[in-house]
Amino acid sequence: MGSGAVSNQVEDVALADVAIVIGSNPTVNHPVAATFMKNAAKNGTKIILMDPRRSDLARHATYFLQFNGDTDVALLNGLLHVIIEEGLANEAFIRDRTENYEALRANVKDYSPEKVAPITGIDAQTIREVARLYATAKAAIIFWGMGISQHVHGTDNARCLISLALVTGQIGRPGTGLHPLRGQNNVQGASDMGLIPMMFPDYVRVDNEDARHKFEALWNTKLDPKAGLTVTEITESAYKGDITGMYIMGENPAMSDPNVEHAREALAKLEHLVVQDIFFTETASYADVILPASAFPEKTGTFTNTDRRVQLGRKALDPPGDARQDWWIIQEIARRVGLGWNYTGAPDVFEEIRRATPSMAGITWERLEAEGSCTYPLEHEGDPGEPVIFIEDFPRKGGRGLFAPAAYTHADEMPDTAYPFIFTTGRQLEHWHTGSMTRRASVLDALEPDPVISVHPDDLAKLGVEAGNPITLESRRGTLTGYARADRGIQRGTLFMPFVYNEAAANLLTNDAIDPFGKIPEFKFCAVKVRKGERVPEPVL
Amino acid sequence: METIDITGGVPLGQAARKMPVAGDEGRRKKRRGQGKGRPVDPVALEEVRALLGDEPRRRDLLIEHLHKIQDRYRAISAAHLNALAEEMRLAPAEVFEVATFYHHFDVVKDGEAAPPAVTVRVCDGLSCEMAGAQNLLAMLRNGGYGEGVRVITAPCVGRCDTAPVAVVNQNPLDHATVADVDAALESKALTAAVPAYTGYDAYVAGGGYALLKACVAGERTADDVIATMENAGLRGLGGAGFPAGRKWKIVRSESAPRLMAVNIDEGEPGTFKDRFYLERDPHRFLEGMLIAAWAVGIAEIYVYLRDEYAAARAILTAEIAALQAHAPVPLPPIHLRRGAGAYICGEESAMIESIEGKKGMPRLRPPYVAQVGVFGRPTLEHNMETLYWVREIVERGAEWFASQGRNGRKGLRSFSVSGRVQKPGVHLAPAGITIRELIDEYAGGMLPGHTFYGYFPGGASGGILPASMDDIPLDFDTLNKYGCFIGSAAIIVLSDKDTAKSAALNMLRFFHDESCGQCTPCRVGTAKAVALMERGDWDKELLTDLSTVMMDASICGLGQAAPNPYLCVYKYFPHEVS
Amino acid sequence: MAIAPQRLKSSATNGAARVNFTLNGTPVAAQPDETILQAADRHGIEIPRLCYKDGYRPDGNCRVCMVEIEGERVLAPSCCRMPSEGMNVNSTGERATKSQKMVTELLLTDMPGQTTSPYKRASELDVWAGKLGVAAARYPQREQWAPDLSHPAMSVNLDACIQCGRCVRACREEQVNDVIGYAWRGEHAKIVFDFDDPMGVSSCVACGECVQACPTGALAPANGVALIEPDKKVDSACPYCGVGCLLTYNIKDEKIIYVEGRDGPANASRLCVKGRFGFDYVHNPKRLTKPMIRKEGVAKTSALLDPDDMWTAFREATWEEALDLAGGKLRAIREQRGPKGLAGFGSAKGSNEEAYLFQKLVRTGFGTNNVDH
Repeated sequence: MGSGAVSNQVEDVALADVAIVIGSNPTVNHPVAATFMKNAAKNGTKIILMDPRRSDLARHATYFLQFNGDTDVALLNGLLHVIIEEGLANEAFIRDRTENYEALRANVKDYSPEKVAPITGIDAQTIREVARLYATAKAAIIFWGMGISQHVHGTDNARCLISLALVTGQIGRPGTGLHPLRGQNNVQGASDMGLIPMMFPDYVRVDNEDARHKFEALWNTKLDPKAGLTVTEITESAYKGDITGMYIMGENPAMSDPNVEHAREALAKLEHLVVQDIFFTETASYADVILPASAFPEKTGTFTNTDRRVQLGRKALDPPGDARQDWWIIQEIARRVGLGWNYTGAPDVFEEIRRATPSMAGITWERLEAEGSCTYPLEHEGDPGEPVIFIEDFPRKGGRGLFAPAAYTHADEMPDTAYPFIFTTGRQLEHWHTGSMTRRASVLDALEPDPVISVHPDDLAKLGVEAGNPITLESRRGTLTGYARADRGIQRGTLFMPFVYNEAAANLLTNDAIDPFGKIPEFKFCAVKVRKGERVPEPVL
Repeated sequence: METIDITGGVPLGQAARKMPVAGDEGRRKKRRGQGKGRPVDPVALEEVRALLGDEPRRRDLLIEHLHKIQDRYRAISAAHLNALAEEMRLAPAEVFEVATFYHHFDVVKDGEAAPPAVTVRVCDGLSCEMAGAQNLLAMLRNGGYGEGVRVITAPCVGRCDTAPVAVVNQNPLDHATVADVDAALESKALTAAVPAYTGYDAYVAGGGYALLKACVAGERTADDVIATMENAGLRGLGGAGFPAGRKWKIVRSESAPRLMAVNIDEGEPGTFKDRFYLERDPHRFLEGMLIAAWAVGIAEIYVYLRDEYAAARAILTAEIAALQAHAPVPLPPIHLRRGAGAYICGEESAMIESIEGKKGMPRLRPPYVAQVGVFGRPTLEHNMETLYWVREIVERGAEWFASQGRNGRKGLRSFSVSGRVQKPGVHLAPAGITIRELIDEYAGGMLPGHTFYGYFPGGASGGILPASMDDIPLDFDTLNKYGCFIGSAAIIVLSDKDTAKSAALNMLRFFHDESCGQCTPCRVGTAKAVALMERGDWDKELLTDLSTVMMDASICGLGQAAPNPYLCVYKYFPHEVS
Repeated sequence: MAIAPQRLKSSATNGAARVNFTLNGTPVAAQPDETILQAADRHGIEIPRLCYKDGYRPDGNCRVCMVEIEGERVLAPSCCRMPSEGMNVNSTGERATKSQKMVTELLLTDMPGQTTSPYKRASELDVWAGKLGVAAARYPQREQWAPDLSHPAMSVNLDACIQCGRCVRACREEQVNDVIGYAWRGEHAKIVFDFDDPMGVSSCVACGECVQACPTGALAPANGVALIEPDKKVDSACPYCGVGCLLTYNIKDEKIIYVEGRDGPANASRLCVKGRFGFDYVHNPKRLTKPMIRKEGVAKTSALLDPDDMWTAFREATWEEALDLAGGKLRAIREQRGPKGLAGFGSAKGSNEEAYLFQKLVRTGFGTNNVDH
């Protein structure tokens, strides 16, 4: 569709008659966003929750489709099939605003509800009802999370969702659209700022020559016209010895990378690793230089949320000891690699961001201080900002939304007799990402101190393990032991684990196969075997 | 994790499992294995599913479903409650608060013993108390019944004319004695005997439903029928006295779908007229209800019957089914809903909450029930007796009804008379009759050895008047200037063997038990009033201040009227508190 | 046939007429959809309120906001009642004041010690009691509930509960976590978690909305921090997920003592357990406070290093030394192996300014697009 940002804000769920939530457990991962979904449900918005795992939102959903993991494309193509076959497609929208519809139509012909029912585990009638409900709603919105993206077919999953919105015209109006829920507090901003290997700030492709000249002028230097490597590719390159020097600021690949033992080996091979963080993280184990940084409440800066709202975080405390502001540390490093930087602080940097990022050009620091929050696109000072985008066109050449048909394919590693269980990972409410902050927050640690693995009680009974006792999981890549937590919301034959616990790092087991388009690893699906466990190791904190 | 099994008492199904746990370590262990909250017990879930069968899991059926569990297991275990919450997709807290709100649900927490198989409820309403209920209670409690029987008190069960009353499970014993209770236990007579009444066929044979048919056939117009109701001057007989015809008009002008709710939660102490008519001529009420529904254009009807009226429930269940099986006209859906032991649900908006499957907490008004009632729809709400008179009024004409009455008043009233009279019971008498006339002409005079001392003209809420004020016409509006009201026309007669002070305390205890707990003046006020009145030496300043806030600031009539008994003691029986 | 409930959406206010009424003898105009209390607030007339909380559905249960409306039999709750044209309302007359004070006194009667809340500074009940001049409680006190200190983040002291139900609305209507209920009835009606379970084992997700909503401190952050007066309050945002909740840090002696939700566009004053209670990592004694350099001769293996053992592999350094080594070596690699030998991971947790600088450093300083997060 030509954009990485959400089309509509979370609060639009209140304006929607129907909201699809797929591959997302918002009460855990986006708890406050989930409250607005639940408010909307109470006010009559029909929630269609689709997820292999039954989460708390299911109780508020009109439909809960607990489909088999890894079968997203089959399910979504089934919905598209019904919409097209039953004449529920929005012909005018398709004609005026999209291209490549015939290819989509041809592709989904094969995905009748009857055909995908046995694949997905969702009966044909339900698929039909859900398709009709979404297609005929006055306004319908789609939210998704990492359950869509973190598959080798993650891009295909997302393409199907985009097709759903395009084929029904459920986009470009309040209460409609597509909202991939952003995981981290500034994952949106990081991408907006060009902290991705193929884009400059404001999603300008590095191989776009005109745009590159603009940045070369702004930054007064020659720039590499070739896209760089992504996280997993960088790790692989380090493992092979091509990349030998790295600067890692506030990330923890030694916990967050899939097949993490391999990532740790790669990090250990680096000739020179600079780690900038607030704690001695797992990644710091492999550092040559560690630079003590400041925590969120110790600094001032702007952060962009999942809704494209640019918001101000203000300094409340001084960093402890000799720890320093991160922008200052980056600048000092820059100076030492030969850049003559002389920024004076966040407001100063923000001024340059406005010049680099036209969609934020109208946001001033003063306005942020006064209002606390501005939604971009906001190109000119004084504009209100645009909560809904794609109202008239899409940011592609010609302005049309592109149907990208997707075929149902399997995960990279399917369960088999040797590794019969599906293993999937994610977060839990009390902990954040790799836990470097939350496991050191006393209340959060007290609430969830132990590595737990969600297992269906029937599977536990088969294993002869009582809930709360250790089980050991083993994949082709690693092994770990954690406590079994009985969870009737998980499908039999599937295990779920948060990746936050270093004494039982879920990513020791995960598969580092990546989606060829999105380059995102398959955190959500690999094969493991289970046995009764002995002892859960102590955490290293 | 420690688990304790329930032992003793009635088996709570296989699902009487326990949840833990105290201390940080307990919490940690519990959370490791189960996460947050109570895990659903699969056995309990199966049991609940089996009980509910194909019935919808809609929220408004929560109380009905709780009854199923209570009836089957004589209690509601935490495991069943949790399973019910899951099955109905409700939060545990929502189900728990509803279950604990109603007196007739025995919620059994982890580790608590289940109640015994038999519960003997001794009514401690004023009429029963005057007839020796406390004595009966004491004897039953010392009756040596053992683990299998519990003896508890119950608020007015609506049989004041046969006081004292004990109810063995669902079998009410009139003029109860220990021997009666023993006999009932011995013979396992635990359900209500259904009295003889006019069934469907007999009612039709007597010309029943002809009027309804005529209405539906267009032989009468809704406007005409409503005009008749207005001219007859029939007012709501639940207590509020709103003119029935005008109510029909108002609701009829609201947008469709319009619903109807029939209030048979007759709980005002001293009142038993609705039960009286239901147990004799149920179809007369049902026909009136259907005529009202026709005139107002009602889509669905909810009939809310207090749980204490087991015999009436059996009658209504059977007769509504008979009616539906031989429908004289196309019928709107009729839902019979069962209360669960809460006086407050007689308050119209609390009843609506209860019909929706919630706690019976009154709503704030505006908006009024006629505009926003059951499920947010415009609702015609009526007391059962009001509808009972519809057929006769329409058949005999407005003049007939309006020409009744005495002392300048119009119409008829069904007085529930109890207390120290020779012939307690429901007495249909002219509106405006005085207490002296009512006692002498209808109630057979005072009991031998008793001298008329005072009376409650309108149940617990309507105040207390002294014998000296025996010439006031009893009707709507006539008592207001004395700080009293007639309400549901429940007359409790006191004699020289009684004191107004102890009668007032009995009533305040009742209000304290029955306050829903929503608003401060009533929740705290009724508690403080009882505490002050139990001191014997009443503190007039404190009680008076309390009455001001309760009357002025309570949400509903319960709290607003609750101080009436003691205020009347100060006003009309000052010698008792000087 | 099931009948769908009417959707209660506030009607459009555009074009609707303002409502003129009289408040305490003064003509005032209410906006359409405005309650008497809200109109009074806008006109600077203060009416007591306890169960009312801005942004929450008014419930009208506490009855401290009662006003007298001419022609009505009883007083009306100003938090729920909409004025109508020509209505004559009195919030300060003898009758209204009497009820306001009596309600306050009755609630104060049941406070621990029949006096100010021992759990919260400036309890709303205490503030109104002060303003209304209600000092002594003359009535006998209720039986009190035992404290529930089973939750690491919050303490439950229902002896200070005024049963206003703000926590129930917080839990059920705002956050829709549906943990808190109001069980039993009458005087015994009690705030419960699930089945009256200890909060710490209940299904509570510790969003803390109830604590934020509680007017008396019956529900309060653990360890009595609600009694501490902060030195300063700093408006900021939440450092965790992408929702972007706005919050306020309350600082005492250079430490965060508690966090409150702020009315941001993405959170409407709501927070979750992490945002509200997950802040003391910043004060963790294991924070890095000095630049560190790997000791010479300590080889890297793929094994993790326990933070407690970090000094076996690292030594303290000055910023100058550490930066020179860090930057100098990166520069050397670029010069020896070219830009392809370098990469950088910036942080999706850092600010836009940090992200911008980081990618600019990698692109212009390292000379490569090998930058990701």
